[in-house]
Amino acid sequence: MRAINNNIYEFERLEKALHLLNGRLALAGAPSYTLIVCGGSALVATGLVLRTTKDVDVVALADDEGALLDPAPLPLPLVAAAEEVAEDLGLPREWLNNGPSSGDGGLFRLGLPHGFIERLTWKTFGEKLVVGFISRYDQIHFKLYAAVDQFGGYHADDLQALHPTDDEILEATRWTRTHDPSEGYLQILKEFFQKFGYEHLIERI
Amino acid sequence: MSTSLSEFKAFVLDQLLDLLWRQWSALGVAGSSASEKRLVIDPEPLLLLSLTVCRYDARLFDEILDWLMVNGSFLNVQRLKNLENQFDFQGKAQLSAVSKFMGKKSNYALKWKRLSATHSLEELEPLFFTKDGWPLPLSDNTAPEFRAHGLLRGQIKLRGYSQPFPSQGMPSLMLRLRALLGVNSRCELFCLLGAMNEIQPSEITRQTGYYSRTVQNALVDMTHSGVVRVRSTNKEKRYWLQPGVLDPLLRPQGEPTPWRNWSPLFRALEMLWLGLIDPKRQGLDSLLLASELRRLSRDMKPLLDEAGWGQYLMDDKAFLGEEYKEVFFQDMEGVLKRVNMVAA
Repeated sequence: MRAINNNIYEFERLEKALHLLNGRLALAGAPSYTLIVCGGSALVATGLVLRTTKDVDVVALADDEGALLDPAPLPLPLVAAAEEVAEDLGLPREWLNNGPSSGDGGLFRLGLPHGFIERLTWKTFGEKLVVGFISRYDQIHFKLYAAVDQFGGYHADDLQALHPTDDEILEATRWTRTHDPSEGYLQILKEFFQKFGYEHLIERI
Repeated sequence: MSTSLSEFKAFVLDQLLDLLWRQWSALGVAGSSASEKRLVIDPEPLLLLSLTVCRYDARLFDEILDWLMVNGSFLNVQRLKNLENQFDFQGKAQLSAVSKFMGKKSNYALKWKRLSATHSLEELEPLFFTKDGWPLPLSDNTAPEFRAHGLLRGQIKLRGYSQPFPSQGMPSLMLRLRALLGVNSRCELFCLLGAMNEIQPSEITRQTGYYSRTVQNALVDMTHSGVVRVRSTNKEKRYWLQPGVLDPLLRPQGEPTPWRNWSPLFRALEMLWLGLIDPKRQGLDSLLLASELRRLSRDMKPLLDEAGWGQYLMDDKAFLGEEYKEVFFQDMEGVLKRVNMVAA
């Protein structure tokens, strides 16, 4: 019960921040933005994982026609409005960030999973802000990639909390290897599988 | 129970108009208001704030025009311009219109004409509003001096009841000094020298709105009188008044001249009023309103600090989200009540 209450609290906090962000954008006369959000916020917003988060990780932007756009760098009016929201709500200054897609090694430029857009869950926060939260299937992809990269940590916890099937892990594995086809990555991947309970899948990589 | 923005706006307007009536009455404006008794009134920032706030009190606006007809020669037009620019007072079109009116009607037309051609609104709008924010009804016959600057109002009919400023008492000290010494920087310099044990020229420049060279030159000249003394410290000279010489004029009660740094305070209060009536801030949900009030407070804070009032604001970082709205209201209520208390 406590975990559910915490998640409701986290979800309300997230919604509050994004509603305020919409308001600040409107008052500033800024353009409208569509954010594609992954990470903990998307886990909370879609009810997939009950945990706390202070970040909104933007993996992509989208234009009015729904085409995905590189979120690096984030548009200045969006950054300015987000900083004001941070001041208002006591959030970290970079609570809204493009960390997962911040450069050439980021997810957007390396390529997103096939069918990514169709699986998004949309929420409108006002005339200036629409957010697409990524799906469980795509979370498994991103979390596997990040968990292997960090060899554990909260990404591994998130991955396990998503209870991926063997097939989902293997599909995610194939996607991560398109991003890093090196022998070194394969070796770490196997070690990760060994340590985190996926050892029965090593042969199928 | 939480205060609505409308209620708070009404409170702020009442407090501001109280303050303005009190100060203008002390300088000779006709009215029944209690007048300032203790503090030195600085007429230029007073006029600049009035030109914005008195759009919501047409009677006081025209009483000020009436007063200017009698006493306008003692206003420092160059300083008006300097303070308007330095603090970015927003009644620019009103000041241009008033200057145009004074340029036509007063006996000191030439000096006002220097200000009259400066600012006009892009689109015509009413000059006066009710306290609730509705435009006052307009006759067909509008005043050309104001219309030329984008402001619509009826023909100006002054009552002629304003008096010359009082020749005694602290509130009119600045104007009395101008009557004695002429309309120049030395009047503000004497007020400040009377208010402090000693003072640096940079501080005088900051508080008066005069150019630093003007202040420096005047101070250097004034030291030759033996009335103003100087000593050099590592970085800057410090000036003070020779005790006793001007005390009957500047320190009649034996206390420092009761001068306040009105310009930044009045600009902060103008920002408060304009910030509260800004159309974009009406009808916001409480979270977004609190966010806007936080921005407004942060804009005002440096000015209130400069005027010596910043310590009355709470640290907004300690109050998150909607919680800040009531804190802002309390802070501003405290400042306004204190301003009116010290002005009483």
